[in-house]
Amino acid sequence: MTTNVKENSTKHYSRFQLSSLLLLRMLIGWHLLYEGVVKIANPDWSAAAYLKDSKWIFAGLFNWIAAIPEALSVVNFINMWGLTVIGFALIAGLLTRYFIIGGIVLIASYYVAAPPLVGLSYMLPSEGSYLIVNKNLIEIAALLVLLALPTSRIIGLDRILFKQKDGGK
Amino acid sequence: MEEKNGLNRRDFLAGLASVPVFGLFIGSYLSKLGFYSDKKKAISSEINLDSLRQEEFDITQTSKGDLLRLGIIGVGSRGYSVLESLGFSKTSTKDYSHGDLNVRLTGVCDVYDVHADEGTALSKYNRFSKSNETLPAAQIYKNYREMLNSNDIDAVIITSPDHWHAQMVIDAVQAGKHIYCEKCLTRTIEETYTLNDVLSNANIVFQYGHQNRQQKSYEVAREILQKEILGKISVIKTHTNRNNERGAWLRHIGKENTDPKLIDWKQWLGAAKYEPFTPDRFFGWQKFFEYSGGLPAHMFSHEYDAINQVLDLGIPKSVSATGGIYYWKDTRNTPDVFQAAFEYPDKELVLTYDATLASSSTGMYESGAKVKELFGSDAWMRLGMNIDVIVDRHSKKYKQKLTKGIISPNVPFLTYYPGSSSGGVDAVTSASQKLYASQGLVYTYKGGKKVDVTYLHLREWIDAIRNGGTPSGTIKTAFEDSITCLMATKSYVEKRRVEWDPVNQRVV
Repeated sequence: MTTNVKENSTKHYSRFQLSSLLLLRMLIGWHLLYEGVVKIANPDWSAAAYLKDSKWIFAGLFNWIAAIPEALSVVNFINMWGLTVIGFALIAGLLTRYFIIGGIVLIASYYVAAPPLVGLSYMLPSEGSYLIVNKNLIEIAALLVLLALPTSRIIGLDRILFKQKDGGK
Repeated sequence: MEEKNGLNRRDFLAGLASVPVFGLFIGSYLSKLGFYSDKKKAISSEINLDSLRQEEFDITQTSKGDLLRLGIIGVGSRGYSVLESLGFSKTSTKDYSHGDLNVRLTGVCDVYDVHADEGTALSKYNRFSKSNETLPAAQIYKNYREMLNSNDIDAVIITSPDHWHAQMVIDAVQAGKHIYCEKCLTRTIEETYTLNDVLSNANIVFQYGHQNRQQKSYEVAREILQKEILGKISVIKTHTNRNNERGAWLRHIGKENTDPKLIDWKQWLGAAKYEPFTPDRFFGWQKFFEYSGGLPAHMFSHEYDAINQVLDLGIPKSVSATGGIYYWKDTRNTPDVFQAAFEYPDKELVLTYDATLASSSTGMYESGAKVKELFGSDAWMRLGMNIDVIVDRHSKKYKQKLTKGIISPNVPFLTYYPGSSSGGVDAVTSASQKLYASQGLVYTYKGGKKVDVTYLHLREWIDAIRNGGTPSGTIKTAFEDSITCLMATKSYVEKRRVEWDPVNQRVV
């Protein structure tokens, strides 16, 4: 199956399937966009607290980032603008394939920094009760679904962008 | 309608179909911003937040003036730490980006050879100085009077055990040296009267070593309290909770060379009653009434001075104290569990202090120090390095705002978190944000700067020596602190309520 066949096959979603996928794309986009905008709007925001609170096998790496001001400012920048741009792209349907992958990487880093595994406890409060599966993991899975079942060439800027590229084929 | 590049109107509509979602997003975001801004305005109408915002003090400037030559008496753990704050350090692990104090350490006096050598070793390097040159080593004096009489010393830092403070201050005044003296000012109430007279008539610059006089949060708290935001304050609670060997003054074991040949024990005892040398007594002098006022002098002193700073409490009308040696059953004769109530009938409030050296698990902490709590009829304050002001659920003053849900007893309505962009003072926006901050996790200070308060306190003293003025650790605050703490000690020892006679300025 070539990429083209794959892309074309998306045009065969039922209305219900397409609406559901679009709703999922908008909701995740909204969530990430707001998370990004809030961080940009707060000049005191820093990932330091989250990084310092990291447990599990990557704790050393995340604690190290929190301790080095330069590394921390890079991570802060990636978080603030990464979330904002990915959120925007998901809603707009712009280059979603790439931004979804970016989103998966970003959220996966949140998950591995503080996974709800047996025996790990965190200072920062969590709003629910989780065991292995938390909302980060579910959002990653949801992004995988959006990657497997793309919609941006039906509803989204990709429709204009790629149709133009392909010369209207 | 087919375009040249194959795009039709349907494509454009589908391509831009999510524009309304952005509209909805922006609308919701603005309405959320407006909600918090209205909330803040409602709180600000009561409290002028802007007037509380603090200017950041520029500490990168060099202290200008002639080179100041310092001597130090006592290079124990506190003396060592003070030297480090002055820039005399073997390593540059502390933040030495502050302005150069332009000082040299020219004299070191310690009856313990190891500490004297350590002090001299430190004198060779000053981390604030931009040059890498090695400085001349400080001279070691076996007797502090010799050092005070030397022409190589302009000012002296007294970080000896408390039983020596009074005599050393008197001798330094006579020698015409400026003085930085650690708390507690004295060991006995009588000595405090004497020092008050001596220092009041002295022509030197005196700084009482309560470095927390430089803590910004106390300055802000003072302003908040002047605005009567808490209503009528009736109770203030202060605490000390520790639960380890170091906190209980068992510090030498396995760490210090306790060979008596290295220690001039007789000189160290001074006027104190003769006791045979034991490492326990020498290194753990804080545990004995012969050399200090015990827990009130060591720990309550910090709490009292902070509260005196924000409320000008002065000396209490009476003090009742109780406690005992209930956990660290070693050679000590000062209590490890201590409770005291300080009454201020003229101010219609009671200040309390509770301390234990056998539990660190209760209360709310900030960098290891337990926060002070000030209880008013309309709100209460948690005061530490940060400040939280929380409304009282039965407040009359804030009743309307409570009913409308503008402020809530669950979330502080006024906070001070130094290092944040608003200059620290703010009306609360997010509960979780403040929760993180109170755990010391959120705010990496701007430019990574956390200021060493001991540096600021020493600098204030040094600047006053050079340019005139009175440092914040005044003789008055030292007198009030020492009398108040030692009244608590006296009450505990004599098992009675101790009173202050304000007319004759005497404890009765």
